[in-house]
Amino acid sequence: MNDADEWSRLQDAWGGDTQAAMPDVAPMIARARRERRSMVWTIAGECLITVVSVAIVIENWPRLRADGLLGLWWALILVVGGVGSVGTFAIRIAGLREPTGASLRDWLLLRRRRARLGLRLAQLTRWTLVVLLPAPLVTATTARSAAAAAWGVAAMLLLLGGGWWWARRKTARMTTDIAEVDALAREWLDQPLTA
Amino acid sequence: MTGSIDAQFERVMAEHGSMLVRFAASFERNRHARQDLVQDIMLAVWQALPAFRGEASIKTYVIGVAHRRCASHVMRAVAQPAHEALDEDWEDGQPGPEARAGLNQQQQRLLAALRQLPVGQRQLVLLALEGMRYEEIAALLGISVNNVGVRLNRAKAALKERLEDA
Repeated sequence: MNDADEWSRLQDAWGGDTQAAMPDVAPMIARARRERRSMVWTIAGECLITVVSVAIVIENWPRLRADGLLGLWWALILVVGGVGSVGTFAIRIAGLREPTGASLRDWLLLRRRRARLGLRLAQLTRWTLVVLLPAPLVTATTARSAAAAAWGVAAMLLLLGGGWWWARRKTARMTTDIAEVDALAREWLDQPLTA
Repeated sequence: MTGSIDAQFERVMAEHGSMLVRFAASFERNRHARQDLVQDIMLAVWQALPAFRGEASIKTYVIGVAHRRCASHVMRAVAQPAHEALDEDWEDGQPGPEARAGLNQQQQRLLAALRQLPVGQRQLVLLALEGMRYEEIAALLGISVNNVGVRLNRAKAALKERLEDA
């Protein structure tokens, strides 16, 4: 195969006259466009909700302070909720764009960085949940009625349970991603991935 | 803006669409999975076109996108090997999907040999067959030109063996 003529014959054969039937991707493109538009609006809506929520907290600050730690908890929940949801959608919209890394190595490094960021996010979620652990108890003891206490406790338990489940899944997925990226680097680049 | 991207996309597909099919065929034997892969690559090209600044040729840019998608596809296929079964049309002597996809006999022979190579070698041979120079391959992979030379020579020798065996 070192023979240049033989190689150029192969090249000619490979790129020779072919009329491949291309699939119709117009519906996929239309869907991607719709998805991107709806995500932008969702992010805008979530930002608006966060701003309004923060404004409500600021407006009611004296009353919340009178309730002691409960106010701080609500503020924390709002911040975690707002940052978490906006962050999640921002990551998803970034995923819609094709990464423009110059090489396969850059692309793999980018994927690994993202996976490590995801791992850190899951870790942060776990620690935030640990801080929020007394939330159901506080909600139950400070509620104005039995019904409000029941709803409040249920919501808090859902938040804690859901957050814990999400963090576990995210950790598992990101760990697998990192292992796959490293395996791919070994196989495709024939060398370990170093920044 | 949207219109100009769509027009550019159509031009790119008219010019390089067959190359994308060859890329997909090199990394996926199963007809349906390959069709999905081609669609996936085309969508990725459409998504990547607005970021094209003309630093390299459009062909190199499209190859970069296709290459990353194929790498991603192979990674997923390794993780979930359920659809890795041989293409039934390829096995029963009927006109295979490659023939229907417009590949001539020589291309099919090359493709069969190419598919037998490990993916690391396969991608190098494929990129070289598509007319990329050592420097371009090195830039695309993020490895040194020397490394490309050594590995590509090894890959070409392996391809030659497969072609002789066929």
